[in-house]
Formats: sequence, structure tokens, C-alpha cells
Amino acid sequence: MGDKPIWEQIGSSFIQHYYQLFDNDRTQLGAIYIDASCLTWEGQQFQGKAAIVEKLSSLPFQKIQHSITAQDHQPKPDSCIISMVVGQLKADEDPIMGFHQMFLLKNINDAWVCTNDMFRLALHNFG
Amino acid sequence: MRRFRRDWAHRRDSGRYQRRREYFDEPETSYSSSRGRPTREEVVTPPLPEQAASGSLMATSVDFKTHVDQACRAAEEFVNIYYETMDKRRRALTRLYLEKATLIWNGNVVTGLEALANFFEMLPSSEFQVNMLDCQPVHEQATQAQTTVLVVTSGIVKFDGNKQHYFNQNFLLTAQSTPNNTVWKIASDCFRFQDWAST
Repeated sequence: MGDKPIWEQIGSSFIQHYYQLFDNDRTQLGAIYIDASCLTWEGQQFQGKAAIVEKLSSLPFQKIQHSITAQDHQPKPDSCIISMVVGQLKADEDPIMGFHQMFLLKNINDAWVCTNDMFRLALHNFG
Repeated sequence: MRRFRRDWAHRRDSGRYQRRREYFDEPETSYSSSRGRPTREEVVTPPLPEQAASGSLMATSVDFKTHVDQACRAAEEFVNIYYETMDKRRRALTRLYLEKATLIWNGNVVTGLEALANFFEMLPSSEFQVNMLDCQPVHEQATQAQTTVLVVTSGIVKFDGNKQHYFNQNFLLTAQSTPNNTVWKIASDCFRFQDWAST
């Protein structure tokens, strides 16, 4: 039994940190984005840390819980990591919904930040 | 009927995927002359314009719009060809991958063209229907000036002998530029059934 590759360790750490922040206080997510970051949220494009945090903070629910079904991580030659997450979430008292999210991570000044983020609900999956 | 989706979705998408361009209002333009639906084994687009020096904030925002536009066009073109090749000319599929490309297919890692060729040969024949497409250009800061586009697709697939599945797929495409055109190839590919845990 070998250790997981480093990019899997970093990727899964990031994922855990991201959803923990998101579920507990998503206004704190600014730290993981930079000014060059792009978010595509259900088809809408947002650029820059401020715009992204504003969008995430303004999502219309109070309670949110993510549950990860599967995650994949791949290294890129320039030391970035791509992470893909498939899972389910529950907002307030709404029914559980599937979602899919992709992150591109980069190490800047010894911290892993997200430069690209794409999120979609699996709206056709109701159960 | 209770709108349990609230305002998650900007709009409800159905049927074939729509381009994600609501970020800015620009009329649809066609970059290529009408050429029907050629059978192609590469994704080739016109040469990318010189990237303006990103000094002022204004230059940065113009660059961003241009890049998003280019990204979406290349992504759409690519997605069309990719799934058509996957369904109808499976043996040509590896031409769309870089030599050292990696695919993770429902958790199985496949690296390099030879492994990819073997993998795609073993995979049963497929019928893909893409319902959603998102794309983003990757900022220079992340890729050391190599033009890179991220593409996310989702939809339905039926592999011969298996039941239908919802799927999600991510591509990282890189552009190889020549003076006359730009050739897009897959550097990374990640595919999962949305409902794989319950199969």
C-alpha cells in the first residue's frame, strides 16, 4: 500500500477545505481565489475574487451541506492540479440534488489557490 | 409548484447545449465560413490573435472577453468533433489527445496514446448526447502563456450492452499554434458517470 500521489493529497485537501468553508461560512471563500480567478456558476461567468465571493455569498440559502461521491485529481505539467468532484448537496430544507464541480489549482507563494472553478447542478437527477 | 431550485440556475437549459455567453452581450458571429460538416480528425481553428500586453485594467478586461470568446468557440467545435468521433470513428479518437495526455475514466487512470488507444478499443460502442457545456480560458498566470481552455460537459451516454447513464466530463485543451491555424488537443480528460455510485 503506497502513499497517494502528491497531487491527490493536495487536491483532496483542497476539496475538503473548500466544502468545509462553503458549508460553514462561504463568505470566507475569498482566500482561495485570486484576482485572475474565473468562476462559472450554473452557466454564469464571474471574474475576480471580489465578484466570485459576492456571488457565492448571495446564494439564496442559509444552510448548505455538500457530500462528495467521488473526486478525481490530475497533475498538469506546470504544477497545477485539476480536481473534479461529483456529489450531492442539500440547501436549507430543499430536496437533495446532485452536483458536479471542477477546480484548477495553482500554487502561488506557497499557497494553493483556485484559478478556475466551474459548478453545475445535476438538475435531471432528482433522487 | 414549489420552485425548489430557487435561483441556483440562471436559466433552465434543455436539449442541446447552449453557449455560455451571457457574461457580456455580443451578437453571435460566425468565425468560419460555412463548410458543412466535414469529417475531421483534428480540431483546428483560425490562428489566435496576438495577446495584447495586459498592463492596464482595461486591457485585462478586453483580453478576458476575447479569451472567453475564443475559449467558447474552440470548446464548442471541439466537443462536437470529440463525441462524433467517439461514437462513429472510435479508432481516430486518440488523434485528439496529446501524446502524454491522461484520462481518468470512472476512476481508472489511462496515460499516453498507446494506453488510450487500447482503452478506447475495449470500450463498447457509444451513443453520446451532450446536454450542457461550460468553458473557461485558463489565465496565463496558470499555464505559463500556453493557451489553455477548460471544458466541462454533461449529458447522457449509452454504451452498448449497458444501461444509459448521466455523465460528466472535463477536458483541458491546449492550443498548438502555427502561423495558419491553431490545433487543439486534449491534455487532460476526466470522465465519470453522475450516478456511478448507484450502478
